[in-house]
Amino acid sequence: MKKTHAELDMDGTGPAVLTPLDRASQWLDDRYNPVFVKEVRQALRGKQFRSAFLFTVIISLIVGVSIVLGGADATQWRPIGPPFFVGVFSCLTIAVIGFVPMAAFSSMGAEWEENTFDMLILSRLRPRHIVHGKLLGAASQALLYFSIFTPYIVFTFLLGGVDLQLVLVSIPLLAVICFALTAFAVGLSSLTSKRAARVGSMIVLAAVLINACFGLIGSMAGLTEMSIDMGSDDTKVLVPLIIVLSIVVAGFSIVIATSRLAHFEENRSSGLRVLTFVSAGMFMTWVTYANSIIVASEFCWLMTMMAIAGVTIVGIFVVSERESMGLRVKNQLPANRLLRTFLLPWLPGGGRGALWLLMTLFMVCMWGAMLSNGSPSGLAAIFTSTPVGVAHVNSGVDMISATVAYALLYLLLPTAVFSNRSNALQRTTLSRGLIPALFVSGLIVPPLLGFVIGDQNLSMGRHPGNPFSVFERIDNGSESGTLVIIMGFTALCLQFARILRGILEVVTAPSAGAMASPVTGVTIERVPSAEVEQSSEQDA
Amino acid sequence: MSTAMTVKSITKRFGDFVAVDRVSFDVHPGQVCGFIGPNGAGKTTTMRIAATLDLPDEGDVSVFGSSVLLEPRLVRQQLGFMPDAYGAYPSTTVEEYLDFFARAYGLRGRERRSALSFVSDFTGLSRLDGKLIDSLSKGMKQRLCLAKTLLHDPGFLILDEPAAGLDPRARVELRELVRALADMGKGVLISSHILSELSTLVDSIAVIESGRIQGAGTVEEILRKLRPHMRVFMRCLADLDRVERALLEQPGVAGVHTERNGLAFDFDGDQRALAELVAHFVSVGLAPIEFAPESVDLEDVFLSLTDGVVA
Ligand SMILES: Nc1ncnc2c1ncn2[C@@H]1O[C@H](COP(=O)(O)OP(=O)(O)O)[C@@H](O)[C@H]1O
Ligand SMILES: [Mg+2]
Repeated sequence: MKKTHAELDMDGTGPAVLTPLDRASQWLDDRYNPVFVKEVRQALRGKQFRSAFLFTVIISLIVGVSIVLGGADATQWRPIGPPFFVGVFSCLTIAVIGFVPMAAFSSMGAEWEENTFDMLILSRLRPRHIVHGKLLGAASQALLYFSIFTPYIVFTFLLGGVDLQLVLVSIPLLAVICFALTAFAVGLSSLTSKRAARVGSMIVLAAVLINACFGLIGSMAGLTEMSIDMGSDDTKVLVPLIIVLSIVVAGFSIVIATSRLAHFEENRSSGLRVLTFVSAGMFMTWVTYANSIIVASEFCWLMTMMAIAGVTIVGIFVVSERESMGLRVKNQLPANRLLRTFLLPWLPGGGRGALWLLMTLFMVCMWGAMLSNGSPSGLAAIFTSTPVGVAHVNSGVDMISATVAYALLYLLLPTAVFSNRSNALQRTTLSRGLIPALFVSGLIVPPLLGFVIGDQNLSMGRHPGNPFSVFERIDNGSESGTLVIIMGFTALCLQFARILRGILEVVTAPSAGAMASPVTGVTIERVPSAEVEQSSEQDA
Repeated sequence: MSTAMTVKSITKRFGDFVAVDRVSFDVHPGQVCGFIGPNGAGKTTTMRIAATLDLPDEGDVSVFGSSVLLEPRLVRQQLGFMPDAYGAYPSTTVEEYLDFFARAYGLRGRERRSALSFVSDFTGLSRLDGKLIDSLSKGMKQRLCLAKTLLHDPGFLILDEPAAGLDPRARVELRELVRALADMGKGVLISSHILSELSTLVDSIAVIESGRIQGAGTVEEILRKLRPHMRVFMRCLADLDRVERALLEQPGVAGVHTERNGLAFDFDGDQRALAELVAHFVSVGLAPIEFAPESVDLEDVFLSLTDGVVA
């Protein structure tokens, strides 16, 4: 058939002389993300986008005109600029934070409903192309909205009374938030193909979007009223935080969507691991930056504890993965031993997940400890606060160590006991469920016991199962969390065999493409189908 | 002969239910293989595994030597899969739909344009380019999906119940398209729960029921396996006794008995041997005037293989 193609080409459109411009546009045309092209075509022809766009244009016109007229009518003169800006900003917010993410959600959902994912997966498109295409499609819609609002923004300046800085910061910030929420919508939409669940996730999305809209419009109204100083410390700390959080939300959503679309035997874990590591690093960079402005040790260790908590939540999924990696991943391992060793913590598998957890937590803790101490001596301090050294350095480092110890205890204990070696899905679900269950029962069982046996300390929640009371006492200096650290360390020791198996699997696997297929007679360790089917619902 | 696709003892379980049980068969290049079995027999499950979309619990499938387990991307480059429930994007024209998939398959510039014009000419969709997909008839949608499947010029095609829901005319047209594809040298695996849909099209069949292969091979092979003895009816002008004696002297003849003024017998041999037997009878002057190897068609094979579950 190749020949036939060529033949047709011969007698088809003849070889016209192409100008460099034609050539450039053709080159570009070939390299567009196909999903993006399709999304734009469908949006422009579809009712949904057209009516949303028309609605926005009309409403913004009405709002703009009525504010100007209202201002002119008013007996008492007030600058029209601020209310005009708030009005226009609200319309723009509703468009780019309400309509755009909703459209992205339904366009992703359409692929499930139209049964087209299989066809996309069979082509050369990778899941990430699909997700990027959806996001680019949404971005082009957002761009259209932003562009129709440009005249209004210019008009705002003509009316006067609005801080230029406010506009210059708020509009790009709106774009960043729009991106994050759109990515969130795509991620949410990728989670489930079941219709009933889709309705549920749509309600969740709507609630998030409505809250975001009101929150943004409300704070914008407040900001213009107060004519806030854009150069204040608060703004300098908050704006970067919003940007970092938006990037983190977008990153996680994209990674989740991408791994949801990937076949379960493919690598669905490394992206999440890298992203979490990078996000934690970005967050800690922000903490460092904020600390340079508002210098506060307490702020540093509190934020470090938050970062640990974030890593722990991702850890629930990573550490509980089945132990062995998928066949298709295994078949792509590089031959180079050094490279393999470097890849170890990033490769799928629960044992390697524990390794990843240790590495990520180590990075966060070291960083946090240094910040909290204000000097690199924190690095030494974190070692001395382990049960080996009894020295009590400061509550910041103790707080961080105790938090890590809790993270290790709750993540590593259940997954060590119920390790998913047999690749049975129930195991993964069990350990994933056990982690929060253990945490909650640690909180509430001792007090109940306390009531029964009449122990004041227990019933008041003063016991190691309650991290908050432990943190409180560490902060008072009345404890250094030694018991918790011992428990965390024990859980870590229990993981030893699992981590070792994880390492061995990578080290001993044949190199890329060298794996024998069962067709040639060599049997390969297989995964029960129960896992195949259901894990596509569960993973990520 | 090298195979286009080899299904090697695949098993697929859904919980405790075994949907596909140690299924094996081959399809050769340039051949159409009919994959036939009642609803729920495991055809779609097998085909999805062969198309890299699902994984078997045991066994493997190779497409032109690449394993679906280990090298799904290599397999996908050489494979076109037309699912039974295929998707069509709303608010999209025929041209845009095909263009999208051509791009998705990484075709660029002239290559893409020639692939597009080839598939739309081949499937006869050229004049529908600007039409919205939603407005197409079932038969046309089916062609569109086939066109999409052919864009990257795969050497092997898997078509899951492509004839389901088509009117008789569209069915005949589909058969012609599939035949033309096989004549181009492509291997085709085509499933159906209705045998008559395929009986004139296929070179070989694999019959599946309750997840098990009941028989696989060329139609002749299966016939022979089912009935190792061909049943033949013969009437001669010569005396019945003489004919019977002559018959029993021949190798491979058994179970001779009288029937309708003639003799019926089981013959253990191929068609050439049978021709020689007739020539011999003529030469010794038995004057055979009626000679009828009992015709067994696919339909009978199918019924006997599937215990008549499907009419
Ligand atoms: N995802 C699934 N979960 C559970 N059972 C399934 C699933 N897919 C198919 N089956 C079962 O496997 C059997 C074979 O299905 P299928 O391959 O679709 O049959 P066919 O295509 O021959 O009609 C059916 O009994 C069906 O109910
Ligand atoms: Mg089917």
